[in-house]
Amino acid sequence: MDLPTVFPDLTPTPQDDGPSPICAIQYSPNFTEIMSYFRTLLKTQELSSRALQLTALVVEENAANYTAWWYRRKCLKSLNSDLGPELIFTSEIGGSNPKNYQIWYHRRALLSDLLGGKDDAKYELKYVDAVLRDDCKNYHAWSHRQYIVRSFGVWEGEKEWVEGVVGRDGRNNSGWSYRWFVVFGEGGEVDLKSEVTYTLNQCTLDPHNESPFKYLTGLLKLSSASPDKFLNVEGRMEECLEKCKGWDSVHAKCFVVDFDEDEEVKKRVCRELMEEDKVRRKYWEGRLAKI
Amino acid sequence: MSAFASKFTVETETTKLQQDTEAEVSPFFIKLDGLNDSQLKHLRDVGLVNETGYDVRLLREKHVKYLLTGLGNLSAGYSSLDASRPWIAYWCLHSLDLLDAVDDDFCPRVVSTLKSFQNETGGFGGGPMQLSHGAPTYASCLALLLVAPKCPAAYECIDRPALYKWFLAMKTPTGGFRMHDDGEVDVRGTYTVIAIAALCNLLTPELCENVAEFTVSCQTYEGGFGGEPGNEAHGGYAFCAVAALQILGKLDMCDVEALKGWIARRQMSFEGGFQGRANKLVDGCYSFWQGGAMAVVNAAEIGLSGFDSGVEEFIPEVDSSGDGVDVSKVAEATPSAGGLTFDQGLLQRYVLLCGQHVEGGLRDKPSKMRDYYHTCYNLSGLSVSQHVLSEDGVPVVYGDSANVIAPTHACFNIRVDRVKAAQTYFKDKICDHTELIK
Repeated sequence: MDLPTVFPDLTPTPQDDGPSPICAIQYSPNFTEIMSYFRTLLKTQELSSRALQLTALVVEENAANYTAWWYRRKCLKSLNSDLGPELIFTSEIGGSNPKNYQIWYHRRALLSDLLGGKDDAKYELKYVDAVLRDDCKNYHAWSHRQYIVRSFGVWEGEKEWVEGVVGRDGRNNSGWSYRWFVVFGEGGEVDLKSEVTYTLNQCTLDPHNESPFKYLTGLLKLSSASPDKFLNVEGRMEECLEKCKGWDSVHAKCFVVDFDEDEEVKKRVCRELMEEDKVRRKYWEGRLAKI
Repeated sequence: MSAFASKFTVETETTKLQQDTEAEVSPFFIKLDGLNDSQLKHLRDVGLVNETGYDVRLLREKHVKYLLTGLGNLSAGYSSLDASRPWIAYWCLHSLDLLDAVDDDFCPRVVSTLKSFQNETGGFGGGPMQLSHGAPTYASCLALLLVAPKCPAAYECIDRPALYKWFLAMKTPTGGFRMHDDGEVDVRGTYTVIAIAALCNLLTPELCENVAEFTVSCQTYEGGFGGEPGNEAHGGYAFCAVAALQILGKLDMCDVEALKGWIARRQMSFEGGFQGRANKLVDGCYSFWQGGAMAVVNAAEIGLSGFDSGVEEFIPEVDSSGDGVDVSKVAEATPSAGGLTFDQGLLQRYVLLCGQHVEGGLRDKPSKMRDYYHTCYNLSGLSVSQHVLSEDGVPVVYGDSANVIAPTHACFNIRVDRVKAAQTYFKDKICDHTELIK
């Protein structure tokens, strides 16, 4: 794109960051030219297809230029553009920038305007899948998945899907966290009993894995906080405690300190943890003092 | 003892990465008094070990040299950070300030540059003519406030009424804040607005309404906080949530015990540094995000308010050579030393041994490159770990006693004296909703 040819009517606006600026980036001539035209557009607020094309050049140079993405959305709206190709464009830029806030938000903003039905949402979930295949704990991708599922009500099959993720690596804590979101997010009745069973099985597989223990703790706290709603977990606490007492694991012991009703047991386990979980010595000392 | 510290019965991708990391850092934990003469000489030559003993040293001069490069001319490679120049400025200036190395003559340039990033409609962008955004607004204001005692024009440069109006414009009905117009809503938005509003005396009841409620809704079953309701607990977001709640005086609205347990659990048994999330790897930047969050929680536990730093009057007694700290005023970093609920000595050991690059600057872990971000948050975590809630103002210091750096404020992450100066400067300014929106 030869900018002087496309924008013959515009005068580029050089960057003015004062005398002897700090953190002065030595931009390439290409970067400088693109940004100078972009600054002029910001002044004129021209929402046109050539402006849209220029924003593409800006974000290709610097995908974190949130102003350019913002301006791009204004152009897309003004031009009533087809948002399908825009998602593809965004995927292309996103490919090399999987941790870029702007790109993920751009997808959300597009989706909220674009999605007609659940089929589109399913398509978007496939994009998330692809990102998670490269980095199974990508925070943005998990967050985006929640957004899609919540916004478009595509809860079906999500629990099974994330069980697969956790099945491949029980230490994928993002997967566990997502499971909580799926189980409690939809708002229907929750079969806590089967949640406890699933989680306890995962604890058994690897008692040194923190993730299922934290999940189990969360489940039982919920049940003790609202007994009327989660009556069906009663009776499972003893089973959980008994299993935990059989494991030589700091996570299992932490569970005992959290839930056992016998103060002497709690104290004994706290003292053990002060030795075995040395880096948290002060923490366990504090817990011991509070019993 | 097995070769690896972490235990597992099922090998997965996560356990493999954890083992790799333990293997990566373990050579750095070798006993220094067991090294032969030539090895010791090498470490002393590069400055990592002091001349008289076997104590690890903070490479002050080298870090200063590295940080100054960030404030000068940056290569074209930094174009990808062209919307984050205020961050680079803050990371470098705050790090230098912790090392007592901000040059007075440099401060006017900080003011004139950041002033050009400010928009008439309030807030700061990542550069001139960029849209106002919570992150560059936070970084710009902190950078201005930290140089302001040396250059008062920095205070005056912040357009408070415009900033206030912009904060309100970013607020959502649920009590969250957008990072920018038509931008994402998460607890970074909350923290950046609340922290800067507090420092500039703009924390009106109207601005604060519902903010704690939104923040608390981001706490998860694990005890930490995610970026938005439902997201996984994460160190960076947890810090934002905890600091914002503490500034608002509403930390007790969340489950503090669960939070404390979660943060404590994030310190790695073997490495000593913090991880950001359960079953992830250690990273030096979480020395501050997690260590700072714990410092905030611990300060709140003993009844300190958001502006209280938990640091008693402390003036680092470092002579011009940087080696002359009064040793009698430093406490040894034993596992139980200090008033914070983590192992302060072990964290400092990670920062000093694994975080430092021998040519200056700090990093995530030894296999990663140094950068200004990690330099800032390793040093900030080191500072928190040395000073916050230390007994009688005596810092807890690992390694050489000259490793002591200036105390940072755990809620705001600029020096405690900079926070006090800002409070004093802004205390008589108008803080009334109706007046400010006129």
